[in-house]
Amino acid sequence: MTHPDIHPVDILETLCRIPTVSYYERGVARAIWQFCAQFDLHVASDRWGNLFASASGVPPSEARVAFVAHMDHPGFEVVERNPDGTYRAVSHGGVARVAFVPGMNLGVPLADDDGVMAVVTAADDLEKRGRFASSKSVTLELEEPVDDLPCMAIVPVPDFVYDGGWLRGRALDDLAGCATILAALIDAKDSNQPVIGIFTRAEEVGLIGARLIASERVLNPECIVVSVETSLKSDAARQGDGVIIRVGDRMTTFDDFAESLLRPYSGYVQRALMSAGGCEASAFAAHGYRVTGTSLPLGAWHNMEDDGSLSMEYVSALDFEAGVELVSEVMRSDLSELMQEAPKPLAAHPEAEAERLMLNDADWPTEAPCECADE
Amino acid sequence: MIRELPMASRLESEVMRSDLSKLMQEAPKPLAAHPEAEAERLMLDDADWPMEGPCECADG
Repeated sequence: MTHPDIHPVDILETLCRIPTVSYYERGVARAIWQFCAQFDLHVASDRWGNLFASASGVPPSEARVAFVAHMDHPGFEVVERNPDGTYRAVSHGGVARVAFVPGMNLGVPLADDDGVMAVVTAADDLEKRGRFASSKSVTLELEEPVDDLPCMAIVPVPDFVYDGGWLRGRALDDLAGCATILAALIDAKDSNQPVIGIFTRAEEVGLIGARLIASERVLNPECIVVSVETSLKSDAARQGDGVIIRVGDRMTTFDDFAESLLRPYSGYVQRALMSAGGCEASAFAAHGYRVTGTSLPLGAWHNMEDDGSLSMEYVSALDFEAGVELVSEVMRSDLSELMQEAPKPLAAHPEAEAERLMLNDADWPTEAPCECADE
Repeated sequence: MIRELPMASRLESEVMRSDLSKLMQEAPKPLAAHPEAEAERLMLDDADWPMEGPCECADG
């Protein structure tokens, strides 16, 4: 990535400085819109607030390839003030279990970079889901009254830290995906290919933005959809070993033809099934789209370390830069060439080996006459 | 009769014993359902999303 005016990490940092929770993506959407305006990218919104950006100006209905990332992250929504002066909150998405423990501090961001602190005093009807939990009844005490309800509340970890080899942030899932797509669109601005970036809302609560785009056929049904995500690191998806070409998620396996778009990339890359969580590729696949994905191996997924403590999420800076490079390379490629059916060596008839296997005696595998399956 | 199958073989065995015509029917796709309630919640009710200027509407 060599754009003279901006580095992908700068884009990521700008996005990470903005608090975001499902249904509260306005700040991130605004920043993405401003980046598009600054770098002469076309940008549009659908009626649910999903954003569509491109260098070429191609409308979603005519796009051939779409890279998709989501603007939200798990967190809380403060919904009402109780008669006793406390507040009731609900969680959105899979929130680290420790965030529900009485005594835990949360942040309540307000307008103009202001905010107040909140303390969890109770969490009822806690529904545990693996590493995470959810609740529709979290009681908070706020240090100051807040009148503008509902509003979001977030876990108390720093927005963003870049310490050389590692990028850390509260919401790398999936602001790292958003930054990747933006940086690649800027980098490949002159390519004029029918490629778009899609920035969705409410992914963490059921892939909602993506499902709406797919079900309403906002996007060309022939478009290949590439989910650009972060997902829990594992022995098969090691941090620092490169961006992952993702062959599937918790729900589905993806499409080989779609994946062939990504294979020419010869940089820092791994290939893996990332099955800890779902991603938006599955939402598009459910509507018949051909899908694939990229992913960054993520530490402290949804702000939870392996020991259960709260933490910033973190990815390798090398993996992040490789992800930008991969997406940018596809955007700059000649898509008509890239989308031709790739040669299939495994479809060739193995002549010599067939001759060697050919039976030349009558007693295979026993001396009795055999039934021939191919006659 | 094999008394104890290794764990890896139990899956294959279960598939072999299943009613394949039922197993191979298209599975229901919850993700294909239209998320009505959430769509209503996301629906933009102001003109300044995400900026104050008029936006191009991607879905017409």
